[in-house]
Amino acid sequence: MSGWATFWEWVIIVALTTYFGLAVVIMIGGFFDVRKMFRRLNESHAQAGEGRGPEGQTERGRNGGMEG
Amino acid sequence: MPIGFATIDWCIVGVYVLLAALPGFLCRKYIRGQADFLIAGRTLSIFLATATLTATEMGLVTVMYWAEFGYTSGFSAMVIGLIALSATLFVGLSGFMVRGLRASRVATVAEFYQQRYTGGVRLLGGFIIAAAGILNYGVFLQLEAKFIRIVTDMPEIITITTSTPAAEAWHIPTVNLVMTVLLVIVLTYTMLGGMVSVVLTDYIQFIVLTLGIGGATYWVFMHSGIGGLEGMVEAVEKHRPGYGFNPFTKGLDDKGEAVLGVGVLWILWQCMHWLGTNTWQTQAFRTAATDSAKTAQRMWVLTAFNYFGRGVIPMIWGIGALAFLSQTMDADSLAGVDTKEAMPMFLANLPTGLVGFLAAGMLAALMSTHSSYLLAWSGVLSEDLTGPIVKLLSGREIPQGWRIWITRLFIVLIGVFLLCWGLWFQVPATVWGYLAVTGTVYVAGAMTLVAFGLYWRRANTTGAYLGLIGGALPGVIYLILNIGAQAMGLTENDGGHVVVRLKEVMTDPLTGVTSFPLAVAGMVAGSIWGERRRRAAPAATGGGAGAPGGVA
Repeated sequence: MSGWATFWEWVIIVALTTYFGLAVVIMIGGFFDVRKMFRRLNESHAQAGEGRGPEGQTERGRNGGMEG
Repeated sequence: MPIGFATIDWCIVGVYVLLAALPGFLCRKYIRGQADFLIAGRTLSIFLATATLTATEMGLVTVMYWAEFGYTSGFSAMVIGLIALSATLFVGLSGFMVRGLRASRVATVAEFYQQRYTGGVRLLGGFIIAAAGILNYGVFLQLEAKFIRIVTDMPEIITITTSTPAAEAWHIPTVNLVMTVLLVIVLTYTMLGGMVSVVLTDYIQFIVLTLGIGGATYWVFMHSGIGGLEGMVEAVEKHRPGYGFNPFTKGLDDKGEAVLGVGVLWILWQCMHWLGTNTWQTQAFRTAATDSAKTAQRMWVLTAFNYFGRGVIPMIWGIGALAFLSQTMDADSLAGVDTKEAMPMFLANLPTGLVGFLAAGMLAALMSTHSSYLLAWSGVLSEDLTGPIVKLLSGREIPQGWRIWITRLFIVLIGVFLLCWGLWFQVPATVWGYLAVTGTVYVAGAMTLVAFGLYWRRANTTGAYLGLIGGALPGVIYLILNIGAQAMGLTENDGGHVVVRLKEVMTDPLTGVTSFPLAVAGMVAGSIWGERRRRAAPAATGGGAGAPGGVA
């Protein structure tokens, strides 16, 4: 039993370390990605308004907007 | 005894709900078309994509069912975390399915069916995806309500009396009311801002839920009544002997009645299941919403580690609950504990303030999951069923503006269904078992159609139909038996009844483990048969390998 117990203890340690370590990275990186998402949406709408869409915009019109 | 949910805890929860939901209401201006509404215009970079995927899949219901699994099966339950890590890491590193799906530029999985097979496959696949997905989603509220009721110590019924003596008093089920209000908030911001709102609120919710589960996990390890990891090991050795550590074995519970543990069949099923869960529509939307196939792959690599923690952390809480309750209850009371309620009963003992953070974290988990599920299933209903059917009947595409409104209408209808089904339906066996079976009805067929569609040139429409049917069949039988038994009022004591006997044969793992081979066998046999028929009479069959479909 002790072999299994030791194994699961290591599983817990690795799981907690990677989850919370990665969470910090995702929180910081995610903040910049949110700004990037809004910037890209604005640019995409502006370009669509000017009638010369970005990559995929032609398909987007052809397929009813699902290919954005 | 629980300390109780204090005013400060309610304040934390109230502030959180306001802060998390408000930004969602402001995103409507970013929605110009269905691509913005369903997949945020494919603008997600790696960290935001990972945050939204993790927040979506780490729901309160996830925490509930995996804590229950940890409570019933001890450390062995964590094998699911290891399987999730390995399978998802393989998907991320190799790009298995996700690279092809993203490169195909589809939004929904059923849309891929049309691109690779035919419009008819999209219709059948869309129907299976929507039905299985919504049935799966249907039990979420019921479980979440249990957690909120126990942790907040909310009264079950509030009685409102009127000034007129003759008038009857109103008895309002409190938790149902709270759940309805929360659902309406989520439903409203999802309807307004679609995926853009969902992603933004998911990011906030990811932060709050990480803080909440971090604080609660620290408390679980530090709790004097548990004795840290050693105390948990002792409790599992005493109450889940053998099978609580070795995931390949099973054993009886304290009462000597129920068979607990994981078992080989379960492990086999989960290995197949986790390899294909990226085709689950809420997850496929994230793959589709990334800005490139490379970002999609990287998102899956990071998500592998989040899925690992997503499994293991609630299981730690479940094992902590076993250790705590076994020390505070006598043997009879412990044996009578509802396994779904064990973890919330334990966490209700968190100190004032921390319990508020936990509740806020769990509400974050709840809201992020609901918003994504509402969007995913309404997207499938509008894009993969309504659109193709209208095109088939009228020969016309549904106009762009209408498609968003149809999706919004489905969001409301699914919300109503959720309230009704959640109140009526009682989950059979363990929650994870039911959710995994309903998930397998969808995933077995979807994984087969996508994988064979991408990597096997001979895959064709006949194979696709048989693959879908083969993958769904065992799960459909399971659901009919369980829903039928409930409707007929049958219990385990009615062992002589044919439905009860069949139910005993058709267990969760057997249902799951047969679904995937049946889907693959259907695909292979159907494709070979379809090709022979096509060669014999080329004009008689529709849609060979790679044939583009054409309903929508």
